[in-house]
Formats: sequence, C-alpha cells, structure tokens
Amino acid sequence: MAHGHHHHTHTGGILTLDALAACSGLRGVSPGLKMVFSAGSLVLCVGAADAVVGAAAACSMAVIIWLLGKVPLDHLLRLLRLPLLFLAVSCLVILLECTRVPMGLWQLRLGSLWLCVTAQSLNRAATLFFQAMGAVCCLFFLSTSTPMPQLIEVLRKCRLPELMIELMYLIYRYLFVLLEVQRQMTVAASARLGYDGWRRSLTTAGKISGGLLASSFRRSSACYDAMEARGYEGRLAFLCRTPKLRLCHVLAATAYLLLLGLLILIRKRGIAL
Amino acid sequence: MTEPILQLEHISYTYPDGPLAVEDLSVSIEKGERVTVLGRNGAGKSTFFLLCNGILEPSEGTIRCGGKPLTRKKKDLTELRRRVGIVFQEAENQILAVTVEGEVSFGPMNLGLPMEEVERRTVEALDRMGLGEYGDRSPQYLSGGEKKRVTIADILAMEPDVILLDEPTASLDPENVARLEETLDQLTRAGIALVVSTHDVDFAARFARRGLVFSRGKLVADGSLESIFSRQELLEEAGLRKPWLWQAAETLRPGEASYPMTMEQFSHWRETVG
Repeated sequence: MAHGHHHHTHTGGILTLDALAACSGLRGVSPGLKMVFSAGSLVLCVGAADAVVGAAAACSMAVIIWLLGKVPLDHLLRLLRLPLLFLAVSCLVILLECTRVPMGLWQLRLGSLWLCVTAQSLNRAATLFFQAMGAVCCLFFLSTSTPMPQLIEVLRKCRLPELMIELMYLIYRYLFVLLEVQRQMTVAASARLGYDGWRRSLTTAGKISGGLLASSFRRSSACYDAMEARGYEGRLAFLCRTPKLRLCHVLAATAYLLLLGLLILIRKRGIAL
Repeated sequence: MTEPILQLEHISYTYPDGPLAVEDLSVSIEKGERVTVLGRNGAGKSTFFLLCNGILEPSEGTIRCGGKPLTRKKKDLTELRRRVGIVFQEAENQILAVTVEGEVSFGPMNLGLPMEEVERRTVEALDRMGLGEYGDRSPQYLSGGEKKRVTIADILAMEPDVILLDEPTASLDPENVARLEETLDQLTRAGIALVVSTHDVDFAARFARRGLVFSRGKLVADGSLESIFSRQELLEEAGLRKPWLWQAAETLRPGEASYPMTMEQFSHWRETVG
C-alpha cells in the first residue's frame, strides 16, 4: 500500500513551464524579439566555447529570469536541477582520464590503471559544463517568458508550413487534455491497487497507454464534429494578439548581446596575448 | 406569421454502420424560442443536434433556415453553421485553441471575417460571458463552469440565431447551474432561440415551456411540458420521470390534469388550492 502514491502526484515539467510563461514579468515583450535574443545569446555562448563566457551567460540569464521574468528562485532551481544533474554526470566522465601511469593534478589507483584529472581534462570539462549551462539558461529564458501560442505565431510569420503550425497547436492543446485523462486513469488504477508492486505497475502502465490511445481515437471524431460545427474548412486559425516590438526592449537586448560579445572578445584576445 | 428560424422536414438519418438513428423527424424552431429536448441516452438527441447544424447529412428530408431550403453546397453549409451553433456536452472536446481568446475567435475566423471584426466579436462574446479578463489564459487552467462559459462564448461570437446546447448542466455544480440559467436568460433576451437537451427534468421545467421527447430515434412528443408530464405512457416509453414539484403536488392533491413544475408555479398553486 505504501507504493503508488508518489509517482503520479508530480505534474509534468511542461505544466510548470507553461504556467510560468503565462504569468511571466516578460510576457509583454515581443515574442519575436525574445526568440532572436535567446537564439543570439545561445549562439554566442556555444560558439565562444569558453568557461567564463558560459558561466557569465548562465548567471546573467538566471538573474534575468529571476528578476525580470519574476520566476521565484526555488522554481528556477527546480527547473535547473535536471540539466545540472545530467551535465554533472557527463562532465565527470570527461574530467576523469584513464592512464597506465599517474599524471596530472589528481590520481586514483585502480588495479594496474590510474584514474587521473589533468589540467587539460579539467579545462575541457569546465568549458563543456559552463557552455552547456549557459545554453540551457538561454533556452529557459525563452520557455519561461513566452507562452507557446505566441511562439507558434512567430513561427507562422517565419513562413513555416501551415500543416506544421496546425499540428503544433493541436499537439500542444491535446497534450494537456491527454495528461489529464492519463492522470485520472492512473488514479482510478491505483484505487484498485493497480500499482501494487513493480510487476503490476508495469502491466497497469501498459494498459493505461492502450486505454489512452483508444480514448484518443474516440475523442478525435467528437473533436472533429465540434470543429466542423464552427465552420472549420481546412484552415486552423486563431486570433493571437502578440505584444508589439518596443524600442527600449530592442535596445536592452542589443546591449546584452554586445556585452556578451565584448566578454568573448576580451577572453579570446587574452588567450592570444 | 414570420417564417421559423430553423425547420426540419421529414428528416431521416442512418449511421453508416448502424440502425436508423433518426426517423422521419419534423420540427420547427421559432425566433427566440426556448425548447428542451428529453429522452434516454442514445434516443437520437445528439444526432438531432448534429443534423440541425449540417455535420450529418440527412438521407431524406429538407432543412430550412429562415424559410429557405438549404442544400449541401458549401455556401449553404457555412450559412447553416453560422446561424445554428452547437455547444457540445464535453467542453474538452470543443475547446481547441491554447488561449481563451484564440478559442473564441475560431468560429469568426472560419467565417472569413476581417480581423477587426473577428477581434470585436471575440471581445464582445467574452464580455457577455463574463470572461473579459480571461483572454490570454490557457483553457487547461479554467474550472468546469468557466470552460462551459468559454464554449458558449465560442458560439456567441458567430452571432447565431439558434444555439443548441447538449446537456449543458451535466458535470456542473449547483452554483454553476444557476449561473448557466442566468446566461440562458440573457441569451433569450438577446433574441437567440435556445434548444437544450437534458436529463434533468426539474431544470427542463424551469428552462422551457415546450419540450421535444425522443425515443428510439423518433420524435414521440412535441408540445407543452404540462402535456408531456401528464402522459404516463409517454414518460414510461421515453424513460422520463415527472419533476419533483409535480410529484409533490400530485401527492397532495391526486387526480388533477396537470401540476406545477417550478417553485414559482408551486407557490401560486398552493395559494389557489388553499
């Protein structure tokens, strides 16, 4: 009886991001600008391949998300937890080198082999870590500040094929509908001890996926009726009032990108000197 | 007399893989009228709605809108869908967009209206449903009652003459049912005809004077609710019961032809019988 109460109480990451974007302090900023800004800083951060630039980008983006985006700090840390964990594990692998002789800054004997940390591997791991963290923060900036429909409308303006735009809208909408159905089915299943024990949990999860597919099929024809009833004739279009581009926002974004560029310049020239 | 808003003449429909779903159905709805549709699940109520709006193509019969017979041509269908809106039972199946504003604009967008007109209608429909502040919210964070109001705003934005509501009270709490009744009154005042299917006979009695009763794909009664609830054999055939107030009054004074159905009528009835 002790199992089965934990794994379905947490809500998916998408729900959190969606809710954060809906009440972000930056929701009044043009989504196109936010997209360009986030892509620009991402390119600078990845392109620079430098630990200091990465760390600066990561920290500044986190501060922007926190202070301007009004995302509570504990929410932000919870969001960063998963990529941090993933990165820490992969960077550990890069940090450690396996050699026949002890070398570098730190060694550990493993039978006839040595696990070493060299200055080179440390540099490589740190660069990768901060580069990736910077990139992650740039993307979190976009996803915590821009509601999905606004992003989709920007993509529509970028002349993405109509079919893809419609699919994005529908997938995004039904993601939430199906998540809710799945949650209800899971609760109903655990009420009948469907999650009692590992083996049974697995069977139940399988049955729920099947049920979800069946109910999606049933639902799709009802949804199509409802679309037709409102005159759907093959083009899915909604009113979407996106915030206008404002000069002060453009200037602020440009200033940030220039500063980041300047930092890269200083770092690169510093190495050259 | 003016032409009825919506007229179905000898309509029949068979589902591709099933038995006759609706047989020889003739109904007409007048401007601003309120009609309630009663009957068991699967008796043909939802099929009737889908036929009224042109989603299903009748195998026989004619549908008239404002006296004009409609064909299956695209122009006629668009006309029918603009004038006759359906509010579906499951809000989740109807809500399509990812913002409330986008959702309500879907109908007007499909009508091919200019953007300013789409925006005007969307804002107006949201205001009328008390959703003015909800424009950029996501539908998944709304309550059941709010979702129902969004689905009604969906249809209002198309500025229809008739709204068909499929079991609107199902899954609403009493507070939201009361609110829905106010909304329906507001729509009647705006001159929109309302056709509401329900299993709740007490709600039906509060809502309308006229009832349609479906049983096994046929319209078995079309008349005043008094006449419907006083026919015992009809109630049994369609699986209906009398409203509670009717039953209470009947217990007090058996043998009368008809009884009160709403609280108002009941108080009045008690005064007159002493």
